[in-house]
Parts: sequence; C-alpha cells; structure tokens
Amino acid sequence: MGQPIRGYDGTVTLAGIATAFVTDWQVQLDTQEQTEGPFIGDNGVLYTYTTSRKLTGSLNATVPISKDVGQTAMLSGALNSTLVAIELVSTNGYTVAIPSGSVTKFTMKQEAKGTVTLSFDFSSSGAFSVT
Amino acid sequence: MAYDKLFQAKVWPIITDLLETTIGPVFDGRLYSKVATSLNIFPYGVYQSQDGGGKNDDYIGQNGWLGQVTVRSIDVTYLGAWQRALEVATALQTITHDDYDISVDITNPIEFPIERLTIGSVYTAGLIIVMGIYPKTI
Repeated sequence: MGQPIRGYDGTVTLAGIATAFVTDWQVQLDTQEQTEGPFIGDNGVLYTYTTSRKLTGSLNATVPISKDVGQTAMLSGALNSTLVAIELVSTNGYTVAIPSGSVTKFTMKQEAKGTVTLSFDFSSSGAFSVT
Repeated sequence: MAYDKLFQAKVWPIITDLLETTIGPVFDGRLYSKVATSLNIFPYGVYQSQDGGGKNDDYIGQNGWLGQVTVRSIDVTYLGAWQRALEVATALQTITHDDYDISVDITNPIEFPIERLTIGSVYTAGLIIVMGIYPKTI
C-alpha cells in the first residue's frame, strides 16, 4: 500500500506564474445529462449519457505583502472578463490544466485578527484536461 | 523555493538567532532562552515559546510556520522593566532574514508578580508576540 499525497505537495500556476500562499483548491466536472428510453422489449430501463462538459472550481489564497502576481492575474481576469490559464498540480498525483479559465467570482476578505484572503470561482472555457 | 521537508526543524534555530541578534543588545547581551543562567545582573531578558513550539502554516508547495513567543524583561524597577519591553518591541520591528520573510506581531502585554529576592524587588514585564516564518520565494 502506498501513502497519501500530502496537501502541501503541489503547485498552483495562474497565468503562467507560480502562485504563492494558496491554501486549497477544488475542481468538479459539470455535465449536461441526456436520457433515452425506455425502448420496447428492454424491460423499461433508461440510458443516460452526457452531451457536454465543463470544469468548474474554486481556489483560496492568502494575500502576501506586496501582493502576488498570479493572484493579481486572477483578479484582473475577473474584473476584465479575460481568460486566465490555470494549472493545478498534485505532486505525484493528478494535474488539472485549464488553458482558458473564466474567473466567474472572487471574494476578498480582511479580518483584524487574521489576514487578507482571496477566493476565486472559475470555469473552463473550451478544452481542459485532468491527467 | 521548493517545499522543504526539513523546514520545521530549522525554525527555532532561526528564531534563536534572530532574537539574540535583534533584541539581545537591548539587554546588553543578557538575553536567555527559556531560563536565565545568571540572576545577578539586571536587566536581563528571557524568551520562550508560548504555545509548545508553534505549528506549521503550510501552503500548497510552500512552507510556513506560525507561533507565539513570550519575551520577558526583568529589571529592578517596574518602569525599567517596561522601558526595556518597549525597546524590545521597537527592535522587533526591524527583524529581517536573507532567506525568509519574517512577520512579528505584538499581540499582548503580560504582567507578572513582583519577586522579592535578597537583592530586593525584581519586576518582570512581558510581551507575547506572534511570529511567522515563510520562504521568500516558491
């Protein structure tokens, strides 16, 4: 039996720039589902398939002093509706590559007893891969 | 800087070096870790972890450490102890490191009981600081 990948073992590259102070990310596949059937003589069962797909996800980060270039690229993408390349790598695990990501939402938060944090929601625009 | 699996073992030597360099001069070098080795000459300072050594504050692909450190300023007068504590606070603002970003936040003062020693009364003023250590680049 192997051992699990540690959460810190990875890289986050936004707009081609290795990005610091990322605490966590997640992605999920959204599909459009179609159903066919039932067919005569087929015991009434239904057949399901997907016709389209996109990847959506979110990413949380802490803002360092003097800001982070990758985080700023995501903010810019959200504010200007421009596409941002997003690559999320688990070292010795999966790589999620979204060459053209649309940043659909961001939340910026500052707490007096904490830090300044940023969270982004994003979706793939066009091709993507999970390898 | 790549993720360093040995980083947590480097933290306290870094802190020791930083504190002795930065606030050691406030006490004319009489700054001790955990317990004072001499009680004859005042003022002196003592620092220690306030939270059992701190904890990792890792990010993806990046090391980090965050912890509480107490610095006590001990002197033969109450105001003298607090004056040194103020000098400690001032000196802490200048902490830098070649390889790591260091954050220092003074979160709380601490009052301690007066000690009655054979030489007379001894006063202690304390500061709890939160330190953070992060590699400068990933």
